[in-house]
Amino acid sequence: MKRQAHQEAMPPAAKASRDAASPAAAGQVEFRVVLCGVKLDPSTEKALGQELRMAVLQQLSQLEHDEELHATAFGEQPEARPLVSKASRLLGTIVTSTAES
Amino acid sequence: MAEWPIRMLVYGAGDAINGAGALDTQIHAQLTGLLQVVTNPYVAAVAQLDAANGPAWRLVLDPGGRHQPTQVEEFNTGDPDTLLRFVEWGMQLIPAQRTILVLSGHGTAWEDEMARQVLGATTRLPSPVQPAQKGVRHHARRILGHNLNTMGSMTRALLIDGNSRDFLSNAELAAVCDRIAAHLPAGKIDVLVFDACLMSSWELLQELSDSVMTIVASVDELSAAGVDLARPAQALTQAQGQMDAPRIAATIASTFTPQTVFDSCAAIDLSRQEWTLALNHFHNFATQLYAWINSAPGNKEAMRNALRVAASSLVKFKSGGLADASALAQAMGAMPGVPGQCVQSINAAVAAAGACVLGKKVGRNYQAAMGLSLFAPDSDTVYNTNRPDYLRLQFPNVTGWGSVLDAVYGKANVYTRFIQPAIPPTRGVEGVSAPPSASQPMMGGAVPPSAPQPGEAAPMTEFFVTVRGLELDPDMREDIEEAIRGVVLRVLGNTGLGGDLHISSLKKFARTQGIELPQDGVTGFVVQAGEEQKLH
Repeated sequence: MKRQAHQEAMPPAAKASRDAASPAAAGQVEFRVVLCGVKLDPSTEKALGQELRMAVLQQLSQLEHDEELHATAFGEQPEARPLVSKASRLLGTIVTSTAES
Repeated sequence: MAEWPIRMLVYGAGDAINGAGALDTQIHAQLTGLLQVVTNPYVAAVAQLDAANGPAWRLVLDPGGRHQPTQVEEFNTGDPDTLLRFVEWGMQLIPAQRTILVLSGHGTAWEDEMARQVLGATTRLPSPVQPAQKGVRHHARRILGHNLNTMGSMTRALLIDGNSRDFLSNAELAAVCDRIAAHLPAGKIDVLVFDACLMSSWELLQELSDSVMTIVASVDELSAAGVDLARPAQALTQAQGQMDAPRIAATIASTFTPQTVFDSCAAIDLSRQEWTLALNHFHNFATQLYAWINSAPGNKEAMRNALRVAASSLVKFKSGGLADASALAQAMGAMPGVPGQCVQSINAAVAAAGACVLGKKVGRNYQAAMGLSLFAPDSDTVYNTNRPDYLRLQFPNVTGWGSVLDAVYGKANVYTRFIQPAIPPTRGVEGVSAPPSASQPMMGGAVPPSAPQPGEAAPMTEFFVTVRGLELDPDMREDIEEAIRGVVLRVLGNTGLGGDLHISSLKKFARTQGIELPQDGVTGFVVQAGEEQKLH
């Protein structure tokens, strides 16, 4: 009940932003990997992020669809939020079909 | 020509190690034979050969003689960037539908640390193999020959460059194959030919299964003459290049002519469903076996005996604790008291892996073999020496084989969480423990990750990939999750981590931590370093 009251009290813009960040609301699927207690240097972190993106794109390429896929960096989609901890570093990619974009 | 049906990229490490064991003569002979056949309208080929006593060469194979070999700077064939640069050059020069990558050089498996030690200590070794003269040299595709100390005789490493004192580690090999595969339309290298000893290793092939469709390799040592490239090129040409990857791989294996009783050449399809199925069966086998080993004091000794029997199946390279997979299954079946279900599982695993063998040509010693090896250490020494390298691999962690071997040889039970019954039997499963340590550098000189120091807040990083506007059925979601798990296991497993890793599903983690996740649409997993790490 508290959570609901809090959401209702939020300004409309903030509520819209939170809704957009909800995968269920947006009709999207989100694959997430959380590393706890593992310090990665920046280059390894970047390489891991790239490989994760490539792995997903490679699997998606097996789907039969007419739309083109566009991968955008997290920085271009700032509505994404950490799920596990507010202190988490967040790195990611959003893959969007042309029909959706 | 706009695009060839097939291109061959031959990467030869012919350099000597302290003046001995050079393979450039043999590789040159292979290329000379290949040159009689290609390049033609259906198959095009380029090569790079690092010669023993001279410069390195890049060649466009052209029977018409229109392309002269190009002398290039001395290459370090053990540098993954060198391989990548060659492949990129070849792919740019020859646009093609399918790609065959041939790696020619000294034998290899997954024991990187041993190779590193030997390269550092080569001058102290008593008798490196003599340079090949003519005819068959039984050990010439292995780095070192008879009568060596344990370190020397157990050394296997890919494309050892004696001049640069480097080799291609399995982590580097997997990484560079990933990068090459990313350039290819199918997202995988069609055929990877290991023209070297000992590469038909289940563990190593598992490392490559994300980036390579089919493999051609030898389970034991390979004669100096290596894998004939001209005959398969001729067959591909006669078929006007109209072969898919499995047929190409099978053709290369079927045109191989064993020079000795221990020569072998097998083509294995890593893209078949049975490849993953075999892992699942092996996981079941290891889970049941682990319980049985710990159920009675005498079972460990029985298992040691079975491993000794299995390891005798490799007739030439005897000291590395490797067994043909079918021999391991037979040894398990003959072990007194082992549960029938356990035997059924290993038999099912071997049958599924066997279904991935597209074809093979073997000498007399391997007529009954499957042509795929597994680590079956037959002594404490063999296991202790190889354990650090072995536990960096996916296979022992994902299947539980690492825990079985730890139990047999009395190692601390730090890798056993994945063997709990609740764990789903697939790659990168929940609860899989990744290897505890590694000293090999990542590509590009990246600094390996580390666990936080005491008192330091545990860092937390979230990676996400969001897919919008596409309908993903449950199978596709599962495939993507599996691919992601494979990437994380490989990247973290191939770097040096201070503590062990534990993997659990995101939903389970959130439940235990009281974190509320969105109802639908979010999936993933959590990797935790070290038992003692506190979450923040």
